[in-house]
Amino acid sequence: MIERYLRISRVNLKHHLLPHIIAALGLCFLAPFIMGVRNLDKYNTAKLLDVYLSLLGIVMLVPVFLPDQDKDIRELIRSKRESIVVIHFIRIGQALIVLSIIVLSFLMFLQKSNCIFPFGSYLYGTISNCIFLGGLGVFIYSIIDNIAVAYMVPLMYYISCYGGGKKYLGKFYLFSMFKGDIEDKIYLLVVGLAMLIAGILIRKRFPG
Amino acid sequence: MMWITLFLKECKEIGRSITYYIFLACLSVFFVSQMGSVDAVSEPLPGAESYGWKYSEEEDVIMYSALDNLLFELGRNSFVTYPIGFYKQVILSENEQEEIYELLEDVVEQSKDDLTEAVKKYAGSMDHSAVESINIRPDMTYEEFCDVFNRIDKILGGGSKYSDERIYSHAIVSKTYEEAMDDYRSIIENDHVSGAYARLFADYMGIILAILPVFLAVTRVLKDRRAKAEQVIYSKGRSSAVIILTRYTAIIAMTLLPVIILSINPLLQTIYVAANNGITADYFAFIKIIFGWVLPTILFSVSMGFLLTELTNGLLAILLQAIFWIVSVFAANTIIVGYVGWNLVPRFNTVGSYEVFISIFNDLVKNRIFYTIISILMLFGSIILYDMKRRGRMHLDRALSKDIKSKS
Repeated sequence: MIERYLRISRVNLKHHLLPHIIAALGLCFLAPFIMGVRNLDKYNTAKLLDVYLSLLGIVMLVPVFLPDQDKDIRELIRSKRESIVVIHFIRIGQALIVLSIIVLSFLMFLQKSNCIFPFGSYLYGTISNCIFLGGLGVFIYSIIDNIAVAYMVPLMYYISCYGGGKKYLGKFYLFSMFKGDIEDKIYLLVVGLAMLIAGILIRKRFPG
Repeated sequence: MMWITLFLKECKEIGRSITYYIFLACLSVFFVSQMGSVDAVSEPLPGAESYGWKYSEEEDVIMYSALDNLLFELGRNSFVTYPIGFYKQVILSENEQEEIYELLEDVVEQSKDDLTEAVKKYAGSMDHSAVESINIRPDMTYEEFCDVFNRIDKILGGGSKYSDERIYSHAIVSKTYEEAMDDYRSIIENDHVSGAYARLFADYMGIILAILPVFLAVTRVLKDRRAKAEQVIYSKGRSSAVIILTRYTAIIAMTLLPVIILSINPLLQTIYVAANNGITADYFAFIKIIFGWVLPTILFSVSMGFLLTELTNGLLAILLQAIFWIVSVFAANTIIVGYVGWNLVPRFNTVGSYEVFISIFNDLVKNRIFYTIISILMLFGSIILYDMKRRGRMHLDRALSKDIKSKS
C-alpha cells in the first residue's frame, strides 16, 4: 500500500506539482530585485516574509484539485481503489513538504545575506501565513469549483490586510510578525489547516 | 444585428457567474473602504494653526533638506531606496561610503574629516545641531548639486530620493494661508470640485482594476474547456475574431458598469459641494476619467488574461498579472501623487493638485495610449491563437499545461 502511495506521490510531483514549484521558485528568485534581502534587521525581515513570502501558500496549495477539474477524470479516479480523499491528502501533504523546504531554504538564504532574525519563530510564522492563505483558497475551491475564484479570494484577503486591515481582521491579520507579534500565528496555522482538511472532505462529495 | 445578440448573451452569462459576484463584492468593499466620502471643500480661514504641508520649490530648501537626509542615512549607513518595487534597504561597503564622502567634499565647505565626524555624531545622537554648521558652498549651483546627488543615487543602486526625479520630495514645508487659498481656488475654478475627486477615484480604481479583471478573463476562457464546448464552437460558422471580440467587449462592459455606478455617489457629492461654493461641478468629470484613465488598465488586465490563458491554462496569466500588479502598485511608494512613467497604475492619491495634474498630463496620455495599444496587440494574439487551435494547427494547451503521457 505504501508503495502505491509513493507511486501516486511520484506521479503527482512530476506531472502536477512541478509547474507550481517552478512558479514558487520564480517568486523567490524575483525577491532580491524588488525587495531588499541583504543586511535586514528582524523587523524588515518579518516584513519581507509576511508581505511577500506568504503568497507562496497560494501558489503551492490552492491548485490541489486542479488535476481532477475535468469531470471525466474525477469519475475515473473514483473508479480506482484509492479514495479520492487519500489522493488529495497525498497531494496536499506533498505540497506542504515542498512549501516548507522552499521557505526553509529562503530563510537560510536570508541568513547568509546577513539578515538577523529568530530563525525558528520566523519559519513557523511564515509557514502559518502560507497555510492560512492556501487553506482559504482550497476551501473556496472545494465549494465553488472555480480555480480563478480560488486564487482571487486569498489574494483579496491579502490585499485587505493593507490599509486598516488589523482593525477588522484581528487575530487573523497576516502582517503581525512585522509588528513584532508571533502569538497570533497559531490561529492562522490552526484555521488554515482546518480549512485545508475541510476543503478536501467537502470535495469528496463533489458531484461527478 | 448578430453581433449585438452575441454580445448581450455574453453579458448575461457573465452576470450569472459566481466569479462576477465575487468580483463585484471585492470591488465594492475595496472602494468603500478606501475612498470614503467627499470632504466638504471650504475656504481656508486666516489664522488657522496649520494648513497642511507641501513640497517647497525653493532650491535652497531642497538642497539643504536633501543634504540633511543624506547625512543622516550616511551616519547610520542605511539608505532607503525604491529601485522598482518595495522599500529596499541599501547598506554600503567602506569603499562606497568613501566615494560618497568624496563627492560631498565638493558640495560642502567643511573638510572630509570634519564632515565625517559631524555625520557620526548626528546619526548617533539624533542631535541636529551636530550638522547645523555644515554649509553648502555658496558658489554651488542647484544644477551642480543635483548632478552630484545623481551620482550618489547611482552608488546606491538607483531608486533613491536623491535622484533628479525625487530630490524635491525632501523639502516638506508647511503651507501658508495664501497657498492654501490658492489650492482651494484651484479646486473650485480649475477642477470644479468634481475633477479633483475624479482623479482620486481613478487612483483607487486603478489599483484594484489592475488585478481583478484578469480573473474574469481567465474564468471565461477556461469555461469553454471545462464544458468541452470547444469542439461545438469550433464547428460553428462564426469567425474566431467575432467570438473572441464579443467575449472581450462583454467583459470590459461588465467591468465598466459597476465602476460607473460606483462613481455616481462621489459625483453627486461633488455636485452638492460645488453648489455650496457657488459653482457648477463638471458632471462628466468622472466619466472622462473612467474612460481615459481607468479603462486602459482594465483592457490590459483582460487582454493579459485572454492571451496567457489561451496559451497555457490560466494560472500563468494570474501569476504574471499578479506580479505586474505588485510591482506597479508598490513601485510608486512615496510618490503617490502624479506618478506616471510607464506604470500600469498611474497614481494620484490626493484631492486637487491641479498643477501637478497639468504637468503630468502629457505623460499620462502617452502612458494610457501605450497600454491600450499593448492590450489590443495581446487581444489580436489571443484571436490568432484561438483560430490556430480551431484549425487544428496547435495543441499548445496540452504541451504547456498538462503532461499527458501515454504510459501511466
